[in-house]
Amino acid sequence: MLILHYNLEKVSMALVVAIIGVASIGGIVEIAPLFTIDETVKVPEDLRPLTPLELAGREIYIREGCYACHSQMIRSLADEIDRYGPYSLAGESAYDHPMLWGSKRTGPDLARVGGKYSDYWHVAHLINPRNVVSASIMPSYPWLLRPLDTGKLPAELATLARLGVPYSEVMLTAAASDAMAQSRPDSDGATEVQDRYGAGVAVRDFDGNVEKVSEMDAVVAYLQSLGTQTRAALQTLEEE
Amino acid sequence: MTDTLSLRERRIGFFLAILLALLGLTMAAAARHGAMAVHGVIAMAIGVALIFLIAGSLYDPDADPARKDRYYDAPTQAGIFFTLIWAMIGMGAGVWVAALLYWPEATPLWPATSFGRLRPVHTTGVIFGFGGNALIATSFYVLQRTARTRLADAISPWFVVIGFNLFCVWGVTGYLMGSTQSKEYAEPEWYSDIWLVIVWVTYFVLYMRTLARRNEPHIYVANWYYLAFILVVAMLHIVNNLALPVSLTGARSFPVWGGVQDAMIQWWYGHNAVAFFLTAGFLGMLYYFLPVRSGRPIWSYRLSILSFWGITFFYIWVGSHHLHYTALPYWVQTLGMTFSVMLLVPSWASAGNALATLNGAWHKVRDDATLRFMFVAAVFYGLSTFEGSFLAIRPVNSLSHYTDWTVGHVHSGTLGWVAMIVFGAIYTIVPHLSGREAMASPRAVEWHFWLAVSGTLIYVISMWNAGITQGLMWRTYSENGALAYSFLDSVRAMAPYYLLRTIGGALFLAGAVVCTWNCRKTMRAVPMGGSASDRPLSAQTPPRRPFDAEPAE
Amino acid sequence: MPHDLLVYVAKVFGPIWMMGFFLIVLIRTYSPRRREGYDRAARSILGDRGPEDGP
Repeated sequence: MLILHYNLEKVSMALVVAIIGVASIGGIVEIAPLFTIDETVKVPEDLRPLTPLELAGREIYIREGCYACHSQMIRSLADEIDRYGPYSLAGESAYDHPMLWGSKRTGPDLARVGGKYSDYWHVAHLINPRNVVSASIMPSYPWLLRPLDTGKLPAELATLARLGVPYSEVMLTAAASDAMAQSRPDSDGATEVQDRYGAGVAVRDFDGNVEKVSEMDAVVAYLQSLGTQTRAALQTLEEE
Repeated sequence: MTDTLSLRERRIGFFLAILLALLGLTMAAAARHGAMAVHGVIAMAIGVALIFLIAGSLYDPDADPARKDRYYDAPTQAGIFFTLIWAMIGMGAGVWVAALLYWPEATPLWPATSFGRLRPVHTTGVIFGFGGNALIATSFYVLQRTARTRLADAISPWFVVIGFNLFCVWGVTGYLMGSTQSKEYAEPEWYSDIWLVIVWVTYFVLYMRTLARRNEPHIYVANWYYLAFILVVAMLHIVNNLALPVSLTGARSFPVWGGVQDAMIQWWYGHNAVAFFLTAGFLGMLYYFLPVRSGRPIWSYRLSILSFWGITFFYIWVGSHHLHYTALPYWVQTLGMTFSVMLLVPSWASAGNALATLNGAWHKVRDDATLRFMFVAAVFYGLSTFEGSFLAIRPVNSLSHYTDWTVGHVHSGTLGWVAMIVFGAIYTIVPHLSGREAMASPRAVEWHFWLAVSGTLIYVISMWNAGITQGLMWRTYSENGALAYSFLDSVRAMAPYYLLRTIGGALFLAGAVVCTWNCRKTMRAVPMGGSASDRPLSAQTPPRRPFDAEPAE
Repeated sequence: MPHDLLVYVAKVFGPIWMMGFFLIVLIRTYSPRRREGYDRAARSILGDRGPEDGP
């Protein structure tokens, strides 16, 4: 039998309601406006979504936990602009689910690493960083040379499309073949990738092995795309 | 374990174990391969193990009805057992990845052991495994003593303890297989998040039902902090982990939020996981165990209430100090900075309140290592909140952000404050639950204390040096106006500090190992007892009405 | 809800809410009527430990 001494749970309920009320003020004031003010909602017109091969590379970037040591956010500070390039804009990561801004730079920032190093440099560096940079403390990733599983790409692109990333119907159906085509420049599908995703897309054999499409192709394609999806940041810096 | 349950409760437990096994089976069958399948097998294995464990006792004699007159401490004991296991796993992974930063060639060439996958094993293992289990175990212990009543029922505490540890196991094994959402401190995938919501609602309902049956009209302030911990962590977890699974039979999911909105929500969650998981909950621990261990009431009870509302209100705003100078709008950064500095007031109100409580009992702090653990915890709480408030100021943050200084701040809070108060609470609870006056080996507690303090100091000071060196090297210009150092120069300069950090972490881990050994020795020695006065009020004869004058015992 | 109205509302009602809530908590906590209850609450957790002081 429930012995109800001093049944004051209305006090404990009041405590619960008060805690929830007080603790939700800060969140609402700081998060709600981010969905309305144009400074954070405005997406640069020339921002293109990641191609299937680049998205596969991003998934591997997340799987291997590269975000634990590398950030993708150039701050508006003089030395960072000199070292890494124009500071990152909110709109640049508009299609990133989740955003990979990062919180620690055990390794350098990668927000604009696209095009800074050759594909071959990336491949050698990923297989064993100390072969290329003797003082590097980065682990090696030799298993990236295994073939890329393009099977789940259509479903992943479809999910992102439902979250607001502009993937058209044909992009979804052609996801797997686009991924293969982007790493085989002379195959017939190669030009279609650039028709769909824009001329700026790099269509090259990234891992130095034309026959098969490896996870290395995907990672290097993603790294080479970082910072090249829109020129908005460069224009903003020039205006200032 | 099951002898403390009545026959009816064992049947419910048996039924829940079957449900868990079926859940695991459906997950494994649906996913067929990948992380979700492995997690299904894990859940099924635990379910089957529980089935055998409970089935064995279905026909044993019923638990004696007199148990109604005693506090229910079996879940607390299990919680402490898991806390120590996760301390080994979490801190072990921490020392290993710290060593990897100094000897990168030591990484074996399997995908599961590379730094990127082991780092969340360390953070989830230590925050959720070590910290979460300690909070759940001590909250049951403190709730019953401050409400002077037994837990509302005997099944949901077990569901919470076992369910929470399944969440931690799913998280940690998932990272090794490469299954992560990459959102810091919220890395587990979508089905683990849903599972944690179920466990957390059960935990909240159990807490409220027990409070509703309390025999002590006033809700002691420690319960305020525990309640805030449970409620706000639920809010944070649900909002930050809203994600769309790619398919219901696969582990991968994409967060609903993207870009700058995701950044703000992630760090609204990130810093408040620190605020309500690692601070509010453990302040509840401090406000109970420090007075009890020192035998002196809190210096100013009213200040603790003021500090509670200050922390609950201010902490929520500060998340944006993780995003200074980034693409987050300037006014949100300024709000985060302002509230971070204002937050120093309620934080130091609690730290000061704890230290003032010890005023006049310094001889006890000198003699009793357990109390010294709590004293040092309060000091480090003051230190890390002071450091946090000033790291949040924009110019300071421009130097410290992305560097190891942040890591130093994190570990002055976790090693110095959170772990120390947990060890203080463990060394108070374990002898009590074993019916003994003190730990099996008081000398081991002393050893652990000095290992923990030296480990923490070496770790934090080496990371301060590392962080400030990095920050300065990144921003230094030479006379001709070019950057003076390449990024690699700063990496090369980190070597001595990363070695010192590994040593500091190893010392701290050694202390935790000593603690585990000491607790095991204490728990195995004597059957569970408990002093006469450690009873729910209804059981004490003659029953004292709470408003009577304190009997001169 | 246009953005600048939202900002105006936030800047006006934010401080009011903060100061108001702080005063409520201050008055409620430090009112003399509750002093005795709070002092007994602080001692409440020590009562059941009985006279055995120290570790």
